[in-house]
Amino acid sequence: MKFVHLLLEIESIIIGERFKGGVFRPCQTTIPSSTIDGAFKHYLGIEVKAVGLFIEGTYEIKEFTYSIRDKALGISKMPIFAQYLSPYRAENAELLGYESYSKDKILANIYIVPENNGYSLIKNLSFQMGALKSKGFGKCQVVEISHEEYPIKQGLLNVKIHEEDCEPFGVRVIEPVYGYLFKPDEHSISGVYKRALFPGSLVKAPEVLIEKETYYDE
Amino acid sequence: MKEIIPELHDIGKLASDELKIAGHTFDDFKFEEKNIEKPNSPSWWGQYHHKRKDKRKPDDWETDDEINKWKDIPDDYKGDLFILILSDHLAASSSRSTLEIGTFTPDNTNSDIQKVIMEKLGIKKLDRLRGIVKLWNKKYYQEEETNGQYWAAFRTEKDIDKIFSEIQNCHSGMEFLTKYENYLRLTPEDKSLPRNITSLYTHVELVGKIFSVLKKFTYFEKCGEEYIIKLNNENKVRLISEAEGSKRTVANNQDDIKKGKFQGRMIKCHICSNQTPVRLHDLNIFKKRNELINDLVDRYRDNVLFHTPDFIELLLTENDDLHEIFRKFTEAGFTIRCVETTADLGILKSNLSEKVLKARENQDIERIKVLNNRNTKVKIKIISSTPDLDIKTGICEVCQSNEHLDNPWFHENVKEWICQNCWDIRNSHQPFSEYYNEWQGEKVCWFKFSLEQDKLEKWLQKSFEEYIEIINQSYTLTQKDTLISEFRPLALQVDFNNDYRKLLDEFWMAIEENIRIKKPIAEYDELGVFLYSAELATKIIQIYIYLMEKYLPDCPHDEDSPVSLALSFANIKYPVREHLRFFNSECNNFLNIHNQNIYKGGYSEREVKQIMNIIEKLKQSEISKNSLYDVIQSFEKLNSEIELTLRLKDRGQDVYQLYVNEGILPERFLNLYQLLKGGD
Repeated sequence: MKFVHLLLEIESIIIGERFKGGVFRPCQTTIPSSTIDGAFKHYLGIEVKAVGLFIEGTYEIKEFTYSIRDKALGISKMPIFAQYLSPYRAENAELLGYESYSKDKILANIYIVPENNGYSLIKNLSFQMGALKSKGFGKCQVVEISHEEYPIKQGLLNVKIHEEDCEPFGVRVIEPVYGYLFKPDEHSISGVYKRALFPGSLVKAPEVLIEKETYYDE
Repeated sequence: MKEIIPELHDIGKLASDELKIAGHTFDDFKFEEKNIEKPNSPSWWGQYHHKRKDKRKPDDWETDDEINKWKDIPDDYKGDLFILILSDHLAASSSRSTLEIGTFTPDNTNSDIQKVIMEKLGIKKLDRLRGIVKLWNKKYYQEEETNGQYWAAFRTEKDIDKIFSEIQNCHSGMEFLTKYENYLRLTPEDKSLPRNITSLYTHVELVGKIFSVLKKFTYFEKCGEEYIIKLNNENKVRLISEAEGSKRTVANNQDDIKKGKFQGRMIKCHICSNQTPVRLHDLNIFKKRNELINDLVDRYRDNVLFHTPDFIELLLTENDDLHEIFRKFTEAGFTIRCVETTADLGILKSNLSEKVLKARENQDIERIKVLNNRNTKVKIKIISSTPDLDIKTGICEVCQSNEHLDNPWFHENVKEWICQNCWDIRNSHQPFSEYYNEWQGEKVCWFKFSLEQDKLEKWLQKSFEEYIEIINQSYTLTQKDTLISEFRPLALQVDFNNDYRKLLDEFWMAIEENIRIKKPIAEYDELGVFLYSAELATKIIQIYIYLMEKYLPDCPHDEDSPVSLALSFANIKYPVREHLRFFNSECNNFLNIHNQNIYKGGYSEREVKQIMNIIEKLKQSEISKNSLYDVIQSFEKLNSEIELTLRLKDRGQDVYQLYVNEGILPERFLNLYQLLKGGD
């Protein structure tokens, strides 16, 4: 299976889940296809099918407290606690091949289903992705681009992916773990939650989309 | 009509050597000579489960013969004895290594060998090697004997009547297990080395369960002039070996690949929840899980080989419906992750799944060929409700798996949109009121005990290898490697879980009177919370260390420990969910600490003790924290171990010694020190 592989350097980022307890916003540690698609649509005007993974050992979870201001009333609403990923290098992290990259940045791999050939032009592209961009979160830079071919193997899925995108990503489901991912409408005003495959699903998929190869019967 | 009680089949193993019984069954016992009445209950025929042919009698029979030749057994009980033998084999082979090295008897004159083994195990009296050797508590039997306990329930010749009286009059397996529990737990299933590591209680209980499972699906029928056993009305057999197939997964000869006609399914089930508790009320998810597990254990008592708060191991036959078994779980929003192994009874063992997967990974062609010929399967099954294709209105904020209700949950001016399942769980039970009232604004500490089954399996395998090494220093083990590779952890896991439950019970008994320590869900012993004070934090860690040394002293007390304790300190406003996230993902050591926004880290027991010793030593004085901060910051900047050593030496011998001798960095020392010492 062929993907365009992007390596991103990221400052700090919030890819949020739903609000919890009304005031707490936890963050995810995978990059769902909807987040990347949204960012590319906004910055490049193109739709992409892509999934992403933050590289283990390059981030830690921290908390950010902020309060939404009601401009009409001139008051701040109840404070919200949002988790974010912050650059960090774990002591025992095995980051072979990534030694030359900045230790002050989170590293992430993005895999795009190649639908056009112009991706080499976006090297060094800077864009923002995720939540609270107005507070400076989600600044990303593309530092590497390559076209790679990945063999299909059986294993446990390590990304979140819309069910309808399984075929283009070369993913065949054996035992699914379901969840939902938001899919905005064409005007990005509203949208629906679409059924998606979540990490832990047993699949046959390109090796970069699984934790490790497994040998179960189907 | 009275039924056979399979649990009684090994009652002879509770007889001491003074009774002078050959073996542990009574099929050839001389009743007339001893002037004892022979039992005639159905359970009596269980004594024939090891029947061997007397070669001096040409027309004698043995259990390896086909069922029609079992001439001593009345036709009404041949089927039950057949299933009992299958159950005994399956319980034994699924629970430990079946190869035998050396039989220990007190009469054995070659006691030098045994003395060496005893010395290595710390056992002081020769006879004490007759009791169970728990791999995680090797002196367990010795200590029990010192407290007046003894493995044999039947010790003198007079007691032999009692054995036959039990066989004749016992009403149920449960009655037998309850009456003789103490003896059954002190007696190994097999006293020979290295089999003496699993309890007879667990073996007998497993045999009872497996017997009930198999009996539901097997039929004993007359076919013409002959009797046959049928499984699911399909496969007909007359021989035990026909039902089981061969016992090997590699082929040395054609017999080794002989397929069995009876297959079973052994399933490891991890119970997962999509609900991530946000409010205290959401912890009711643990109560719900506990209720569902108890209900399942009630309904499928025989199929459940063992269970913990989040794990169930099941034995099923081909036609059992896993989705139906877990239907109530999926309706409540739980997901069950299963690893299912289907195999001939002859090779169905608790670690067969690992063996199959390893063979495939290593492309062990010979083994794969045998496994495939015998239709062996290892599957992952994920049991959950199938969600709709999309959700148009809004998604539940707690589980993110269902559409939320039309009306929000409203509390303290905060709205939460949650689904019916999460709403029901939230409303099902009122948590303790102090948390919201008297504890408001305070610092609290959530704590959780954990037992990781995967880690336990790995440690048991390693520990068994070490045990074999101890024996190997005295005996010559020609089958050492096979013994190690044939090890199966199931019965040991059951015994270990039993001790873990005792540890938790004793923990809560020890702190029962302290009103500042709470168990949020009464039925869930692994989770607790207390109003923070340095004294309470210290007390909890001290009790934990004491209990680990009491129940699991030979288990590693470091990052290899299958049991761990995690403490998460934060202001009461900090979300419960985040405490749980820490417990579920970042606790890999003997003791794990999270202090909100300050520190996360793990400690071995040795490290904790060293730090606590310093705290005790400095009871009346203080370490200069500011100077330690300086050292820590300078180490972060320069990353120079030499400078760190020199600076520490200047600032206090205790912390310096900790670093030089134990490798405990000042940051790790300071963080635990502050929590246990208290103050600013």
